[in-house]
Amino acid sequence: MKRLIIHVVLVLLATQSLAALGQTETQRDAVTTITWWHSNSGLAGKAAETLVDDFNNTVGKEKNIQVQAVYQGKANDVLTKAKAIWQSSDTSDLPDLVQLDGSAVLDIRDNPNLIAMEDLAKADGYDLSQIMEAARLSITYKQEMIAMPFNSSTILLYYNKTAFDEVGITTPPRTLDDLAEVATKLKKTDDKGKVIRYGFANVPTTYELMVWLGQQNGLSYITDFENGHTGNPTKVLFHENGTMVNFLTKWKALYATGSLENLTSDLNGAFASGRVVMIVASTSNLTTIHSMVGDRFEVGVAPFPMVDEKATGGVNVGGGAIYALNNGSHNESAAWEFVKFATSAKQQYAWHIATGYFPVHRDTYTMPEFQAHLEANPHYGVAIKQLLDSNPKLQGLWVPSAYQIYYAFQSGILKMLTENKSPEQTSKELETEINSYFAEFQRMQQE
Amino acid sequence: MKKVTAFVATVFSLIVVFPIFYSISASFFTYTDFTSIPARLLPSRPTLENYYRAFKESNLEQFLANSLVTASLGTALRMVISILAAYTFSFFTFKGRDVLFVLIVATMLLPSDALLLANYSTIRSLRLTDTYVGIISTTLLAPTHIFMLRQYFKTVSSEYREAALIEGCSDVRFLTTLLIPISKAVVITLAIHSFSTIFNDYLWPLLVTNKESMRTVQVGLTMLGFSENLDYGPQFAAITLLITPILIAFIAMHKPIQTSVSTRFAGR
Repeated sequence: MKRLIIHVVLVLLATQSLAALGQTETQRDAVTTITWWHSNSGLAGKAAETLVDDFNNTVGKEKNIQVQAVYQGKANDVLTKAKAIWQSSDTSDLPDLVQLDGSAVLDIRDNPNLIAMEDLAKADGYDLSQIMEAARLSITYKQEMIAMPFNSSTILLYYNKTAFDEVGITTPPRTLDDLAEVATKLKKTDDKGKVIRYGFANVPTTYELMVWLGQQNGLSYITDFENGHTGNPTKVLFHENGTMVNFLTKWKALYATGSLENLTSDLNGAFASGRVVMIVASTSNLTTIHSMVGDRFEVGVAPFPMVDEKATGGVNVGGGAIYALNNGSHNESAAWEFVKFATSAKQQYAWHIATGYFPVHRDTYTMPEFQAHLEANPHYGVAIKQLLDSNPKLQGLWVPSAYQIYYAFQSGILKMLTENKSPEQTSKELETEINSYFAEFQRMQQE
Repeated sequence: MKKVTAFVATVFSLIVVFPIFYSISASFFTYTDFTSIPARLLPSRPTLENYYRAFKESNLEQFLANSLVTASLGTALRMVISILAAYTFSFFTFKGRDVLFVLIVATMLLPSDALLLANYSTIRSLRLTDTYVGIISTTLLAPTHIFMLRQYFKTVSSEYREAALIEGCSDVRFLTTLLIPISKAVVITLAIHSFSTIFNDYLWPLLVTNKESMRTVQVGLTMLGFSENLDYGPQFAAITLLITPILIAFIAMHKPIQTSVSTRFAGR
């Protein structure tokens, strides 16, 4: 027994001393240390490291600020971890800055520990109009920019240019009507009538519908409270304003051509293998898609197809942002220095080159290096021009039960196609289902 | 019947073996092998580049060391606690024993995710974040282990113990020289199982550590990839390195594992 106890004690002692080994951090006086939690891994991780090193060696050195970037797992894990801390009584472990993706907005926007980025910018006399309006509004809640847009992207149409040439199509489709026409020409069947090449593949989710519904008539909201950007949405608007019926009618017509594949996953793979000629995907997929396709065929990109000629709203900005948090250390102004640096024209250029996220600082676009880069990589130019031509008020959807709504859209649209329901009925059913999620959320809020 | 069994067993083992085989194979892929259509099963020309990069692009050796330390320490302590508890529950009689046992077993019903935040708050107020103790402490009480060991110990007649005690043998000696050796199969199985679960844990070690020097390998693994990129090579190389020790342990110990499973299900 004695020996056993001794062994246990020894093991415990060993763990203590090992733990101490990990704690070799030293702190110099007068230097403010800012912690930044992020989820940038791989290429983006390296770019984030470079960004932090650049800051620490220049502005940081000058102003006695050192940034410590901490990788905290995937975007969702960063949120889990931050949540764990702000739900406990002591919030001193919160980082000064945290980078979260779009789905985290609902969890953080009303948090008492959140310091609105707009306030920090104002305190510094920083002119926020330097940041692209669409990106700024993408993270604006109740008229206030709560965080700094950082890893931003939009949606694009990718097409197989070689296949286009093969059937003599010279311009990519502009509207969904064009898309149906082009897709029909691109469809290929074998001797038995089985489709071996589809013109287009997609089953719309929130991601696509935000744009296809939102862009109609210049700008249409999907829910009240401006898609949730001015408060919690209580009902959807897409049925009463007719945008959903309009979209579904076009979609059904596209499906009727037999050239649309109802594909919900691995669209990149289907595109790269040549089985599907056109897909819509995020601009952040540009590099991936290019490397997947290799030299199999020539890839073309074009603006996201419009629902009809009146749908002039363009596309919205998606992606992540950097939030400032109050952890009691009063480091906000130092944290702001880093945010300002990270989103400066020069650093946003470097970030774009390394990751493919588009620059959020307006001056990046007029930099000669950037112009040269666009000339060498015209695909990025298409994405950026599309965004600049868009209505900045077209913004993503901030809704509770986002996960259920995502699948409600997808399964509702699939059902319409496979069970041959009318667009009116489908739109009505989606309205009822999604409104019920909102009602449930309201009830939970009141309890 | 035998043929059917063999067929089913082959199908199941293929399902289990395939991902392991693929990750080993993919760890030797070149970048373009990942994007080839149709997908490749074997590398076009095997390269060690991914292994080199896995170590170069992250502190993989540090992460591995942290995982090995936490998994070994956690397993050792967990086994000591479980064996002692199971021994108490199967050989001693005292007031409230069964209630206590039911209470411990009942915690099996609590999903660990539900405890995550509460555990985190506790560890933080004990100032154990960024320590090995913090990482392993929540894994120390393993009700399944206690339950299984107790069931096994119960199959050993208490007359053995009584006879041993009469001969002047202490409880510790009885436990270490008789009971554990005859329960070797189940003890080894549980130890390996413990090691692999602690080694494979992701969310908890991520929550309780902030310093890169304290990160475990599962967290480190996610640092190597970027979802917008197809550069999976270094990740597969790291995965292969991770599964190797556990794979070796399983292969070396397959006999006792087999015995423990077969005897338990044979209702001994």
